[in-house]
Amino acid sequence: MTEKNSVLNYIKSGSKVIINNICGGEGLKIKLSEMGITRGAKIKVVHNDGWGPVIIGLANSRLALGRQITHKIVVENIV
Amino acid sequence: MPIISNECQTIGLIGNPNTGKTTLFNCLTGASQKVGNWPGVTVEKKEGSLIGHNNHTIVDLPGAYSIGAHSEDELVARNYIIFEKPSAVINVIDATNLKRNLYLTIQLLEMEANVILALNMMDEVKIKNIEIDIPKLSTLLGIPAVPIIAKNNQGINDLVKYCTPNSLKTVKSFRLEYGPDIEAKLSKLENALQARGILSTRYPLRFYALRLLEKDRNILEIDEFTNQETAKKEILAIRDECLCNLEKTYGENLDTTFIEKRYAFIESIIGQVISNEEGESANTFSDKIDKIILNKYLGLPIFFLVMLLVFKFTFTVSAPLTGYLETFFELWGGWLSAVITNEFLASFFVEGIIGGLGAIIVFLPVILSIFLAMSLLESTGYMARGAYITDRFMRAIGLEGKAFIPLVIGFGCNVPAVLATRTLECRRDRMITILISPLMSCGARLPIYALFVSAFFQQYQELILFSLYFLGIILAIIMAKIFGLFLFPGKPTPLLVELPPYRLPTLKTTLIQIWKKGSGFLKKVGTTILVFVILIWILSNLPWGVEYAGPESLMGYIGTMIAPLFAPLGFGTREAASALLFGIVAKEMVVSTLALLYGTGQEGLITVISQLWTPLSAYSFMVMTLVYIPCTGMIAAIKAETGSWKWALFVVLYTIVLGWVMSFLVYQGGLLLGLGT
Repeated sequence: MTEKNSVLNYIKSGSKVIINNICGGEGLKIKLSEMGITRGAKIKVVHNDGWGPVIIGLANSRLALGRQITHKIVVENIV
Repeated sequence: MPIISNECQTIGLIGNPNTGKTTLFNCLTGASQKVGNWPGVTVEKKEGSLIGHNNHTIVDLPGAYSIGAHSEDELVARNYIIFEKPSAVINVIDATNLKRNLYLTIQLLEMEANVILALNMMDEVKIKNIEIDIPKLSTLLGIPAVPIIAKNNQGINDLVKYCTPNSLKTVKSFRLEYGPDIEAKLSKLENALQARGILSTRYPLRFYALRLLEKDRNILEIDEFTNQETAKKEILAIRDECLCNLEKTYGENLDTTFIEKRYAFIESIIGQVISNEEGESANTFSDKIDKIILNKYLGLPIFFLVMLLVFKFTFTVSAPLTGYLETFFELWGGWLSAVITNEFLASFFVEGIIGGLGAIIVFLPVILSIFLAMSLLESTGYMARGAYITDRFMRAIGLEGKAFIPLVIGFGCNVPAVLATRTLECRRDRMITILISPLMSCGARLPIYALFVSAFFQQYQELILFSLYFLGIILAIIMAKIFGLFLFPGKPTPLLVELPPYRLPTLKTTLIQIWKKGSGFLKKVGTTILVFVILIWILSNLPWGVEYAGPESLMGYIGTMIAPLFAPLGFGTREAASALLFGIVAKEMVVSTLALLYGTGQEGLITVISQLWTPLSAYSFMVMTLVYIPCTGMIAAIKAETGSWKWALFVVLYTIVLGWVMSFLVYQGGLLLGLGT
């Protein structure tokens, strides 16, 4: 893991990131992956107020993820 | 609708949530749809005939992101496709979101289903300036691909034409390669399955091999393997060996490898099919609205406002209809009692049967209005935002955000609240929400409160009412935590919900849907309610000739017998006990029973109560009606939604115990504090 890696929880609204890893149980990884949240997927953080669930943009869709989930998604900022 | 063939055809309809699948289903079937349950599970089954052709059945399969069979819904869909072998499966996709929607398509192709791709929402595709080379997409996947706009009924005829057996014969067989090492293991498993001769050639063996490698738990739980424990064990052993082997290369990422490879394939297809980059879009119109709706500070107040509007809407719309229905039943009863000369029969038909039917049908306007409101919230996309906003608070009591909606609905009527729990995917959350829903003080209890408040608490009416609602909420929170700890341990599912773009709802679709849902529901609970009402009629009128529900009737005897149980609660009278018994049929009946038994009309009742009761016993009684046994409609709904009488009985028992205890605490506590007179 490079220093540039962070978890989705701490990414500011408006940022674009790429998913490097999903830590977590089998069930969660599979569920997220089936919805397109896989390693290598590029997502945009649409809304993160540090408090409620994080809203991410995956292509044209919007998904709200609870912070217990976003805590496990390791991402890296892409310019 | 064009005819597909002269023979009977069954067509399955499947797709991600929010793709307009239901709208398409309504286009295809119109009013012929029936709602029921898939046998053995509590998943809703919707079926209908293609408009104009009774021998063509369309089956609406539960919406899913994949058929990994992680949930009951997905398992039902998968089993239907593999075992029922529909002549075609229409896969509805949201064309603005090809990448994610095609995941399900790939899985369907791996199941060797006859897939027809219906690209819906083409109008939104145009607005977003996305260009999709649909013929190319069709060639790459090897299946027909038809653009449609379901809400405008566009493209539907073309879609149906593609379901003909002739056009399906040209379907290529589909094969996605997973890489040499995985392919080797897949062949090994396919051979193992074939060698034992258990699965006939009609099974998609490669799909089975894939599911085995993906550690699917249900894949061998089929009839063919019922008495084949040895074969099952052998196959699973081979599977485990393969997995062990593959884990050396893929490590902990083996599970997601299959999914990633499918997405890689999809990406390559999309690259060839979409010319404008389906990029991470700039803030859309919906995003802008969400900045306000989901704002940290504005979100919750807006939500409460919306809920309030929902309430006002439901009761404004349903109240006059309920009134008409009540009048209708009164007139019908009046006519019948004039026409039937035999007193016994007259009473049975009028008070028993018609009274019973009335008790059921009177629910209909409320249920339809609440369904309408919910349907509008869902199709506009606001429901998902509601789950987002309430998530934090619900999690504190052990439930997820989506559970807020049924509970709020419960303040109107508990019965549709139970139905609304269907949106909760996790059984644990659904069960806990169902179990605490009777504690939401419903509209039918209001007349009871109104009576006692008028008798004793005129000055403090808002305070008293508020205290009762508040008590209900506190008890619900406590019971949610208790049930969460002891009956359904585990945490609520973390929030994972799609926020669809805000859309205008299509009225026609909505109306058909709610009518079907409402009447379907009534059929389910109707029998139970009717049985209860007839039972009450029997108890109140026998032995024949007694005063209706008087001290000589069976109901009266029961009332007198159980009255002492309520003495420590401050209302140990036959009248109170009987009123509570009738209240089990419908809460509205408590007041009318008291009026009947005290021999007064509604107006005189207030005076009588203020003379014969005390303020403390009145409040204690109100607490009892808040908590104790839910009405028959509710009991029937709980049985229907949980699939067993065991839970309905459990709710009856826990609420009566809790009600008794709370009333006891209130009354005795009040006495200790000197509030007795």
